[in-house]
Amino acid sequence: MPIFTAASAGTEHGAIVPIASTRLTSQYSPITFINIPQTYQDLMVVVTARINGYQQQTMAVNMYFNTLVQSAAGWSSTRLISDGYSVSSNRTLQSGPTYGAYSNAPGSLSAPNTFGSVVFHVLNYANSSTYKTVLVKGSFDLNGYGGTELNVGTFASTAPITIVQIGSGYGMPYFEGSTFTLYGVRSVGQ
Amino acid sequence: MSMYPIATQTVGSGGATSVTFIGIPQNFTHLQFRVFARSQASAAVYYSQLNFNGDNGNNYSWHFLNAGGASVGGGNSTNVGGAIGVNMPAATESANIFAVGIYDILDYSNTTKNKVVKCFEGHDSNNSNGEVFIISSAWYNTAAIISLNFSASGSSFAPGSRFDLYGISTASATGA
Repeated sequence: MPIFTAASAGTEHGAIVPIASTRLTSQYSPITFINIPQTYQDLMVVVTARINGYQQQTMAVNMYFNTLVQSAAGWSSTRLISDGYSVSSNRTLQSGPTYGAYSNAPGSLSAPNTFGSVVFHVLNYANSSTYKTVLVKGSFDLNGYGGTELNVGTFASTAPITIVQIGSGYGMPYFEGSTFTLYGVRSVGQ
Repeated sequence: MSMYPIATQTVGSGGATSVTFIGIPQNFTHLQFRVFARSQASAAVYYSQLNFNGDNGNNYSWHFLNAGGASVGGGNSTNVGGAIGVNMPAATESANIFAVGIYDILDYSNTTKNKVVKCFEGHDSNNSNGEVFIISSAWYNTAAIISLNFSASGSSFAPGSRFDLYGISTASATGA
């Protein structure tokens, strides 16, 4: 089970510090980062992904906090999507277990070797008095069909984030070659 | 390309009507301004505003694409007194909910271009409300940006609101 223990920051970096990263060599989900240092201002997670399951063109890339089990309890999100033909929006509310903060990536029906990109921004993650707000940008293109997505998610908990889990729609596995990188974003004096 | 922290401000127990960053170094290529904020206005959602170099005149314009869960919209305004800010949860909204915004201010120290700002922002109130925006604003002034003011538009930012300014370097040297 790919669980990655985060590293402490080195002094040689700028504001964006790589904490942990993996490139899958076999299919797996979820990807879990534990023991996240509480010394940064923000977190950023960069994902390139393709998901195997349910014969879908696309499937969800979901972010969860502080649990080793995929759970969207406490999450809500608002989403803006364009598929190249139309623009739409939807919301999810406390809707476990499928969604946390999320975007979409190509599924097993899409052309081989096609991956999507998703970037999660988690601000003020170590704060213990505010709920956590996440901004998500996602994109993929399937040569005739594609998606560009913006999403904002709230995790209704004041607890500092010590675990970040990147789950997938219905828990289906990410393909080999999918990558997941966790960064810390330093502020002044950190 | 590397990003470096320039300054940070956190709103204390009394709240704050605005935050200002002065003396911005001119040796980066771009700026990034990261906002984590809530308003104390008597409303569910309240807005904010970004100004440069103390210019509050009608020298700005903006347009946006947004979504609220049920629909998608857009809007614009011309000759206004500031770049568009972040829409924040306010006093009548659920407690502890904060908006997040990330501004990219490109080529901020150039003296021959009007300045263009991109912002990705949103909040979700864990009830029936949520909105996400992608925004473009322009400041019709070629002056290098040396100060930045982010105001609560006549109200105040709630305690715990936080603002971080970063410089982005495209040079290969570190520690710009």
